[in-house]
Amino acid sequence: MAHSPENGRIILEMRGVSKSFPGVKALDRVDLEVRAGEAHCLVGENGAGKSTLMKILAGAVPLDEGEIRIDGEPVHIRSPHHAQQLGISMIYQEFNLSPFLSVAENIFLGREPRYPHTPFVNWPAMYDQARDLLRRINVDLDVRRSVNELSIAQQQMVEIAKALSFQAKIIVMDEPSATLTEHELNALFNLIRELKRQGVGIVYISHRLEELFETGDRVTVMRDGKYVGRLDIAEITQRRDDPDRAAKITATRDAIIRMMVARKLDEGLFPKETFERGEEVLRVEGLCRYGVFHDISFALHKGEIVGLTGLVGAGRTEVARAIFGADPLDEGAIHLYGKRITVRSPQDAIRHGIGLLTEDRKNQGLILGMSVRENTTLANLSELLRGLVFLDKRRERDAAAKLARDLEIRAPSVETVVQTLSGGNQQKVVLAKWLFTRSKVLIFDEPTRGIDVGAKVAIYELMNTLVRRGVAVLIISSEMLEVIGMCDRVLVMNSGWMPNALSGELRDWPSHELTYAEVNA
Amino acid sequence: MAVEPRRYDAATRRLLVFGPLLAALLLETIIFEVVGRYQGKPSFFSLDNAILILNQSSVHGVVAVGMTFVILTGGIDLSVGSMLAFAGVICALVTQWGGDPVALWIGGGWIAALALGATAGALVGLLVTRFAIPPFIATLALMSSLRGLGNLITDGKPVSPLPELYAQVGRYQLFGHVPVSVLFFIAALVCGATLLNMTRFGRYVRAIGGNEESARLSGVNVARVKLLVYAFCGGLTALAGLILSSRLGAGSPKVGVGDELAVIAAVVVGGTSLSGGRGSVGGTFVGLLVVSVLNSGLSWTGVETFGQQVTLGLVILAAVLLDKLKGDV
Repeated sequence: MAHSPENGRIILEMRGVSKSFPGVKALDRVDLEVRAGEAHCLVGENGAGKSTLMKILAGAVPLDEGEIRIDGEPVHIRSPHHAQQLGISMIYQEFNLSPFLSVAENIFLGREPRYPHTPFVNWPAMYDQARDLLRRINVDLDVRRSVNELSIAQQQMVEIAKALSFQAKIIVMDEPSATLTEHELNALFNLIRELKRQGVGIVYISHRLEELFETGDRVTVMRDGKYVGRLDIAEITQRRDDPDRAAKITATRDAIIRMMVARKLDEGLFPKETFERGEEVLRVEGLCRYGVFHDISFALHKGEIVGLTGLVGAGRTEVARAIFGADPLDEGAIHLYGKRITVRSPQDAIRHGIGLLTEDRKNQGLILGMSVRENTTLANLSELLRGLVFLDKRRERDAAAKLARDLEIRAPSVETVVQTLSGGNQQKVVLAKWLFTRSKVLIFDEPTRGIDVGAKVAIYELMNTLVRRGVAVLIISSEMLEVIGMCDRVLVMNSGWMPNALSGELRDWPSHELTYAEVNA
Repeated sequence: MAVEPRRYDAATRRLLVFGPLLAALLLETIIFEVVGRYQGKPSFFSLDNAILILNQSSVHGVVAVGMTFVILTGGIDLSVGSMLAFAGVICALVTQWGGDPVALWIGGGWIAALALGATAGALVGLLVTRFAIPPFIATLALMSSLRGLGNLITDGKPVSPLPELYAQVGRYQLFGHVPVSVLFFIAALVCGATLLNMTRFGRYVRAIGGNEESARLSGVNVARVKLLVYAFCGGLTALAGLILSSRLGAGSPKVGVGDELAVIAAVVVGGTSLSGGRGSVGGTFVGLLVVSVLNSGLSWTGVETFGQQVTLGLVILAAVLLDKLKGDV
């Protein structure tokens, strides 16, 4: 690609950036460098620190150590507003648009052009300027339309136009492709090429590694909060007629994967114990929720851990919620120990011994303002009744204390409010809650997200203990190594049902045959 | 960036809520005692005066216990002022209509009013849970409708005359000293505190206010608990309306205007968070006392209604500011 004279200059440098949160070192001396007119891909597993790094760049989180230079000038980014002034724009997965305002109003929100010396908005000027911005990125859209009438892809275009209206020099796109269709995706890539031509530097975050070769110039890989390395892929991206292109992409992608995950498997992060596979505990047949997932069938046995994986948005969480009664099911049957059960609400599921550790612990798993004790017993207070209505507080305290000891929950006492605990200990409190209900089936949705490495191992060890006690465990996870490392079998979901459409069943793998690439293919 | 709220365990939390409230109560009492003495009045700090203040706050107090539960779930009930009047009107009408034997019909009136209060509350609960109408709106509608209905069926005039026994219930004094309304107040407090602290239902109420989705996913029947909470508040409000009506010796459709705000103020001053999850019946009791002692003391020392309103506003503000300063207790 012909670079304009401007292009190629380094516009953003982050050097030795470190950041700690209570109990977690989120970033450890990370480097990132972006040139004008470059699409710089940032990759790493969940929890590798990409989001934190970008939040620092956006001024949402202050850094502990390190230096940021923009156009060679050291800057100290004080706030999101300041970041904008410096020419940094973020496009998050969740858009920051006001749904009932028009396209133009959203683009110029808070900076509406006005008639000189009056408080009145100059609507014609605003519409003209909005049209100009959209034309710059070759997007055809009525600027008067209300944003809630637009498709996700169109809303994304509005976000990008808004970023350009700030004279953005650097645009960060966080998983921009996650919710787009194939056709919309091509439009996005064209748009990125256009932005590059105009000298904008782009930080592109994505889990779909194949995508990087559409527009990417360089790739920075992160792992566990550290900078791992940088690869130049501009040549592969640009030479689309190269006969060996496919082979080169595969080789480079595998190299990136190795950098992302390296070691880990050998370092004893996964204390997997294997048990004899016992009787069937849970079996689901033909589960269907129209428009969300379709014809899901699988079984869980005593003595095994089964993984459920696939891309974010494939409907994994939704399947778990439906089995748990949190969402309605349109079709299908759930069997427990061979007997069909009806689950219409979480109460039903809990009564039958099914527990769900939700992905979002803080908003769906815990009552943050309540104590460890109260959270532990919430799902099974009937166990503690003395007479018809009164709770036996002493028994409650003893039970909670025992579980806290068993799970090694690190808290001053069971009366400690769970809000003050670290992510790992909060997850243990959720687990304690389900142990207190004597669950026979436990579904873990992203069990180790946002938890530091030490606590992860503790959670994995607890999973072993559960399996030893005869609990059937299903793990939903986007972290391939977690799935490979901890599961006996793996089910792969893709866009609401399995990729292997012929058999009408989930693709079911022994975990050791599974590689990262196969799942992402 | 938002500051991470500080969180305390239960014991510290109690101290932080009750400490300043009790200090305020003590301070108020001392000020009014000193100013009263200076003005040559008898002692403000006396048993008789204490009973008087308790008696005056008993109607609001009974309602406030129910309101505490509603606010703990993260809801609000604006219909209590209208319900106060409506319950009295219903009881008075039943009494008038029934005639002899008087005692039986008064009893029937009480039962009818209590049932109506609980039912109206349950209806609100249904609207809130089943149709996802915000509690503010549902109870605002009920507030207006009930007030109108009370005025419609009485033609806007108090229902009287009533048999002497009607008023005697409310004016009865145990041991010649303790008014029956104070007994009702104390009973409501004890029941409320027991329900909140010692039962599964109370735990569910706080869990829902703390995080409704987590509670639901822990198997709490959120709809049922909320419905019961609004019914409980409606029933207690009807009880308060009956006490008031009996004390007045009439069923007036005009009483209780604006009382919902006075009750909410007492609950908030007592440390219950309007966003739900945090608060206690005991806090509400002391919060109500702080407000009542203030009003009573201001009258005592000659500050009239307008001045009282201003002071009350400042106290509410101070209470909430103090809450913020303490962090998210």
